[in-house]
Amino acid sequence: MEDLQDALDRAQAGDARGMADLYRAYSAQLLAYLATQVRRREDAEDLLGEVFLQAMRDVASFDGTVGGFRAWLYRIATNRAVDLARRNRRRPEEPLAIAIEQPGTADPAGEALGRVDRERLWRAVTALPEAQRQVVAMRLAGGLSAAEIAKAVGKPVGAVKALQHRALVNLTKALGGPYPGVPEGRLESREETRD
Amino acid sequence: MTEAREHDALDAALGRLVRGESAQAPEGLDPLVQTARAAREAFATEVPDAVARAHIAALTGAATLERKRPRHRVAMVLIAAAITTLLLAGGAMAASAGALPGQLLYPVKRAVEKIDLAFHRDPASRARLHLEFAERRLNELTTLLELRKAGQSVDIGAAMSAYQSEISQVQSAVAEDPFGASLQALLSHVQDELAGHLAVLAQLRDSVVPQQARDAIQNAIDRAETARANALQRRVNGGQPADTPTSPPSSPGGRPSVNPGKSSTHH
Repeated sequence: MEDLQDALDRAQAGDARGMADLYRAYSAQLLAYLATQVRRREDAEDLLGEVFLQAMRDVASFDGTVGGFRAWLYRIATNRAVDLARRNRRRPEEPLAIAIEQPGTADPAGEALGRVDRERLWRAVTALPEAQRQVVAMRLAGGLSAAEIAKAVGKPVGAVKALQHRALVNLTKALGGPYPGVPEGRLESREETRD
Repeated sequence: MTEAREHDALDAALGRLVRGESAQAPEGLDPLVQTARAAREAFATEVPDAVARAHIAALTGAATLERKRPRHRVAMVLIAAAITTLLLAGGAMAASAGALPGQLLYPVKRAVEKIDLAFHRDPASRARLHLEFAERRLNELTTLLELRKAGQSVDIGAAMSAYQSEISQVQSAVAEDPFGASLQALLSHVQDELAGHLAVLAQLRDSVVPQQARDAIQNAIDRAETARANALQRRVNGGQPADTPTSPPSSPGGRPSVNPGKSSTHH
């Protein structure tokens, strides 16, 4: 953490190698997060570069520690992903397979999930309401704490915890898993739910 | 357990999961933690080396440019490209200029295009850049088809998908600035360029034998035809967006109307 704080300090002083160190530390998790927010893997990789370019431009005005920086980075990423989705609204739906079947992507889920379940999981994630998808992906793909997510999305910590709970209930139901106390019904769609 | 306590308990279990500790779930929450574990594993990924190198080179180049603050954006882009070239040992970026979809350096080529876009904020400039990138995708398609004729196995689907994406970005960029002073000139430019694209695409489609490849090219033709028709309609409307977007040609196998005046995108 001290190394990363030093990297942030250097980046704020205009040393691009500091930002490069932050890129090396955070890029894989941020790419994993972005991949859950856009349909195409290529778009996620493009956005990753744009997020760090914007961070490099604006980091001098960032006021906080490296802990807050990570939340700030995810806020930029979320805004970029939402903008992209808005721009692509009139584009025909891309097959989800494009986003999840990229060469060079390891398949660490192989042992825990069969391929069919993995696809169901990805489809369920993309079908989540936007706020639930953002929160659960920041938590599980990005590894952010609820407090960091609250900063990134501008919601109270309690609301973040409720969103991640609802997201996991929806995902569990979509995967066919039992969850006592949850009424049967189909997965909430993005259009149906406003978080 | 109250709802808030349940949220806290789940959050604590997720915290342990993310830290790699034993994520013992409180009673009743185990299915959710299992889902979370599976999702966390499924989400895990790595940034491809070529992509990471291009991004880091772009960051370094961008920082240099911020300090120098050149007057002209074109100059900034050229300097960024030069710096990036130097930084990528072995001239990977320069070598990437001719890279094709599926090749190792192709992500570098696309990343450099993104850098280029990052220095163009106004919608008209971005529309022109996306048109230029669309033309590159056409050149890639032409080369891929030549490779196919030479007996190599190639996938033109990615090139066609990328082409359609660029055309969509052109339309989006134009839509962002509907009252720009140079809109008419821009729409005219878009129309002319797309007419050229259509001519090339029609030629390529007719030279391709496999039906799947023909269909992919036809889809791109439909997209370009729609974009060109919308640009024309907006010009006629004095820049106002068309009430109803123009539909692509109804016959999937039909020839699009093309402008024979521009027969190739090769430079």
